[in-house]
Amino acid sequence: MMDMSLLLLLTIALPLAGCVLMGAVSKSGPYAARRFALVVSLLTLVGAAVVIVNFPSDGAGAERYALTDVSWLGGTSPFIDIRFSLGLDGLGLWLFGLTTLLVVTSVLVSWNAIEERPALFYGMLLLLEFGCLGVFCARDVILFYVFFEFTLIPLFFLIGIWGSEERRYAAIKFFLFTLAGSMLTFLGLLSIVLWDYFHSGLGILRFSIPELTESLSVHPIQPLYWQVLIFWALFAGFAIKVPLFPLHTWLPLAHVQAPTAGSVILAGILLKIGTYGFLRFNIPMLPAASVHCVPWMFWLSVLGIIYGALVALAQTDIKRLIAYSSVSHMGFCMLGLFALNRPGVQGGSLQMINHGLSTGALFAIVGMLYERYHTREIRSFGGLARRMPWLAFFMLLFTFSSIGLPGLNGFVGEFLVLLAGFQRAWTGVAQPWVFSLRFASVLAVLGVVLGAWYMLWLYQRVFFGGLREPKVSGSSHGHGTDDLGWREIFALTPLAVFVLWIGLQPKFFLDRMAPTVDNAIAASVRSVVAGEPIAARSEASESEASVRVR
Amino acid sequence: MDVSVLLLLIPALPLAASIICATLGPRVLGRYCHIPVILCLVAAFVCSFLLFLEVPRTAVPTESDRTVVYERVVPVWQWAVIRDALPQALRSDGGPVSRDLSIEISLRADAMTAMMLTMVTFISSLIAIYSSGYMHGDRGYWRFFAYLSLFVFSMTMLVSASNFLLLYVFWEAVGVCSYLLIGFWYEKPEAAAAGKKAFLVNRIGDFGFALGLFLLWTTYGTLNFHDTPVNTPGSVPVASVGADEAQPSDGDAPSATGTVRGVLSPTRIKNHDFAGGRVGLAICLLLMIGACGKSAQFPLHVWLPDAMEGPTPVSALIHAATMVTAGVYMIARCTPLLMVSPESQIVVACIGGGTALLAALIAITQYDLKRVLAYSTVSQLGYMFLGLGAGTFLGITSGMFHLFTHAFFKALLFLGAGSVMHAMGNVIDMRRFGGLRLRLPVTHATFLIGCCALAGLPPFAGFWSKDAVVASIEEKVHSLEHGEISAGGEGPAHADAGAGRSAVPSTGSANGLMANAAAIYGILFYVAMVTAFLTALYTFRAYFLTFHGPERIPEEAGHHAHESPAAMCWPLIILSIGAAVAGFALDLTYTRQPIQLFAEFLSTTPSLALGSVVGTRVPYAFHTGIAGISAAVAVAGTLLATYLYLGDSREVQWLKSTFDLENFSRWYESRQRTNWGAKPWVAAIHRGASRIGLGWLATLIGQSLLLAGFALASPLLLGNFFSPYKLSFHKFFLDELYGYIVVVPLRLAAAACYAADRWIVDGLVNACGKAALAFGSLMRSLQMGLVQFYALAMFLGVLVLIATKLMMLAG
Repeated sequence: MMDMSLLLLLTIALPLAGCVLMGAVSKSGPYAARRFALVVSLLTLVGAAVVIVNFPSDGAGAERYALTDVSWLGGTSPFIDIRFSLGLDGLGLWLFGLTTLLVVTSVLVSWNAIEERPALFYGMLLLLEFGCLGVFCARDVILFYVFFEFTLIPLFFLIGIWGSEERRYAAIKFFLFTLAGSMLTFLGLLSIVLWDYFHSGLGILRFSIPELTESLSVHPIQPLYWQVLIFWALFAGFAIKVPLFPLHTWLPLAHVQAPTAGSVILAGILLKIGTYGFLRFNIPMLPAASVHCVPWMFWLSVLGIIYGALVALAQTDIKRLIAYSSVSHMGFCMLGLFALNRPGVQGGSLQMINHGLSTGALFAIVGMLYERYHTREIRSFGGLARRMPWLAFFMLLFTFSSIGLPGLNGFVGEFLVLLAGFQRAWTGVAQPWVFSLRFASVLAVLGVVLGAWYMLWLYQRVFFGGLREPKVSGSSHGHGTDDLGWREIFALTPLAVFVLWIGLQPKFFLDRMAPTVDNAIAASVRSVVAGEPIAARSEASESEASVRVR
Repeated sequence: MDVSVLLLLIPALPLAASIICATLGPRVLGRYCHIPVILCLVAAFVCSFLLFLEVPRTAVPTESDRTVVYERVVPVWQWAVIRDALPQALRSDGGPVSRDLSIEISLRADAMTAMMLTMVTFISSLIAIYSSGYMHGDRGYWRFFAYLSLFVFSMTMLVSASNFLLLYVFWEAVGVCSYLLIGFWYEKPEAAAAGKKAFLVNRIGDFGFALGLFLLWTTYGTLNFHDTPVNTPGSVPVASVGADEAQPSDGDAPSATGTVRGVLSPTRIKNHDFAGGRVGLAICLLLMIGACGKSAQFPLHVWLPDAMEGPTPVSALIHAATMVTAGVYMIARCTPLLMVSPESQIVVACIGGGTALLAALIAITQYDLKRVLAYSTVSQLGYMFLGLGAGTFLGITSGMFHLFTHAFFKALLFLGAGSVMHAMGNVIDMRRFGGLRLRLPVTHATFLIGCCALAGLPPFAGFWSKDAVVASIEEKVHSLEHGEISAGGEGPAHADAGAGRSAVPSTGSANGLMANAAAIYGILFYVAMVTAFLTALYTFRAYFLTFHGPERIPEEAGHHAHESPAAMCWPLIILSIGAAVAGFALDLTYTRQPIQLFAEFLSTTPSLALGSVVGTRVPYAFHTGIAGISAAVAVAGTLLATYLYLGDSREVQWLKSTFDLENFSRWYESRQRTNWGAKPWVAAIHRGASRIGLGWLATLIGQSLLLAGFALASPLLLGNFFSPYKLSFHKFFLDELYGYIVVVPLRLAAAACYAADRWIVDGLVNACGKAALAFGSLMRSLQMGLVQFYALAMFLGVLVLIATKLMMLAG
């Protein structure tokens, strides 16, 4: 058996190598770039698949799985320990797999759509994949942050060069918005490192994430307001990525302007970096602050769910509608994470994957429509189900997945998240917050109704009724308004398979991530929201902590 | 065959048929798509029937007491497990318990399931046969059969689900099949809109159901119906085992140790271990919201009539016989939960009775044959809920009995309507055809039988079951008045199973609702009677309008208005036999040794065999008085319909104009209005007043008089717009009402949010950006190519900064 840590390194490095070689390869013919990109992304997918298949099926010992851990910067220095530490655990496992899967889809949907400088485009795409893979594997704060920031650059170019009319504005807005937030995040991370430096007594500036987590559980940051302050600093960068409710305005713009592949990756993976950050840093490292901020996070998530759904309802552009639906769906992820109980955080983690699959696929489908008609106005379509049955079928499947239909993936995540939110509000809230959180958790369930409304309404307007299609202005590829071709079916089928698989057998996915994910919230799992800080509470008082309804 | 094999085969066969149709349908099978579906459904019916026979045979009395319970669970696979998901279950009397959220896909059989399975597969087999004729030549032939068998799969899974989550899953799955089938002819905008509406209204119901499910989870710490062993001793603290041991286990429940007690498990029911009080009531009401959505009860009934846009066999199967009864099934299944909160039973009964009456009132004036039948379905479902709301053994079994017989006669009526549509070129407006009895003899005869059953004429099926429902209400009133059943629903003293301790806290039985329970049920009794009369009236109205009078055939029918093919006639005949005999064959209370065979069969269901419901069980009896009254009412309704609609329509026109308050209209019609300004004396007064400079006063007085006139006439105007006839014809304007209080405000809110998003939220963000821009003059002259350089520089700069800081710290 191959060494998994080596394979993991190879898998991460492969897109980078592909990007570097792209320039040379693309000279050999007009279509060489896209073929090469497809080969590279497929190889990466295979590598990731092997790594994932070998992952322990009960998730035990995941923290050391496929770990590469060597000293990197300041190795010789006695007081700085920045490590080159990459590994795959339950938090990053499925996001890692999702990344490799969605990049294949992205390459396939860009196949004919990208005519301008294809080599650069596919190079950027692979570079973006490299950055995302790195983020989900990094075990060192600096390494994480480097990858975290690195993902911005290729996406900035993808939007700025191959986007629609307002691409420059969108790209700059996206870039500055996220950059501004991540500066604060970096400050927060730095404070954590410094706290560890002053309290661990080792006299070493440690940057290793597992070590920091462990150290902070022994020496929690005190007093609470200091911890909360750091929480909000980290929040700034991650919440913009997610995006949480008032910080979301870059997202619809970026989505609408981005090329299809950019949208797929952006919605499918980049947003998850935000939730991943919360799960990797905020919750395990700042448990008391996390618990303290639960009411805030609850309400921000729920407002996002409802607000995103309402705004989606008012859209006239398919792509913008789906972009706003992302705001709503990511609200579910955040609600799950900040329910701070096991069903919630597992459900929230699964919901990240679900959202990546279904929204990624929906953006791909919108791209296919755009490629055929050069418009995304809902009003200009009607009755396409007869014209393009395959497209309609896939759209229906992913619509159902998106609205959380049982038997498909969306249901599993939404069910667990809502159950967890409810459970938190009903069993683990101190008195002043009881009504507020209960109201929020019920409101979140209402988001599912609204979600069904805007998605089915969209589907009805575009695919049902009498046939109405915009005039196609000179289709350059000659495939006019045909139904999906094999390439497009091949791009969507793997996503559909996973949609069904997660829906029918979520245990397979949950079991592998459960131990790591549960550990992440171990410090705060039994706490009572807005009660006394955890550090002050003894083990014995835990059992009486939950509020009883009766 | 073993029960587990049967139980697995019943859903597996339709699923297989669906997959075959979906994969082979378009290319290979073509117009033979119905063959695998019919074969599989018939085979599933045979399996169900074997199960149906097996249940009473294998149900044996337990040793300790004489209750006969049958329950069998067949695990299939584990769907998801979350260890220690709930730190503490509220309904665990023995201290903190950590519970796994363990969801298993497993099937569960008991008498109620067996009955539902048999009914569903029987009706769906017949409807599949019928559809092979009805849908012949449709472009989406394969699609239709794939959806149809997918629906049967979902429905069979729904009734054999073993936990609330699985119930919810298939609850939504049948909703999707319904969505797909209502919108089957998706090119019709009405069909597409109706499908969406059905889905959304159901989602609102599911919203309640989901909340109920969550509350069940936080209250009981499990979602399973049945007891499950704790199979992971390592991860569950000993406390969870201890909690069940802490119950004074009364010898007959040894399995309770080391198990997680299911929500509806026999041991829990036996021990009356249910959450009462506000939580219990909340659970019941939330589940009831779900049931209202699926079973089209007020206020969520509005989707069902629109669902008639789907193909008629679908209306017969999904929107009359099977899917819409899922709510009734769920509430019947949850009987033990309802028994602890009698208020919720009153709510169920009131919603049922109210819906029955409301829908019957609407059905009277509709002209669309299928819509008449749709409203009658809503009304009959109301009857079923009325029975369940009685909360007695007789009430619940009679509700289920009505569900059973209703499936036969309503499927029959819809298929008959489909046969009429088939002959009339898809015209369904009763004003456009008539006198079809000679053209369509088979349809006519079978439809007549269906009408008799629906109207509740003895000895047809509907009579017996409706009579049982009404009798149960009467009995409830009687017992409430004489205090035989304690209103609080505590374990009754004379119930042998209830001998154990009663963990039911005394609910607020002193509140107003409970104090007036007898009066409320008394009113509901009369509501049921009035509804029975209206039912007979609208049923035979539809019958006479369609089949009697002068023969009229719309031009869409062309020259080939003829009886339907054999594939469509035979199901009609078989169903009509069922509609005729299912009542008196199963209700043997009129014999010398009165026994209700149907209720007796259901009585081995754990939900009905144990717990406080047993205490409400009274000996079977034939209620001569009530049967007489309801028969008389039905006959009266039928005779009135005959008088009004057979022959010329003068009386009908008179009735219509009376109820439409047409006499009022002359008060505001323009030709009736007087032009006061033209009257010489008015003009004279005005002139006179103007001369002395008080023209304005005269005008003012005149205008005030006019306003006063309007104010006085407003009730009349209102009466004209909302006359009883118009209220009924426009379905009490509920669709419009929902449009104005739900849809429009939400759309406005959406538009407002979007505007706020663009101008306020994004505006603030941009303002921050602009401030930052003003801050650094570097940014102002920035070109596209420089931004990334700038970002990189910034990033590197920060890195340098940090490194410096670190060095300083270290040094």
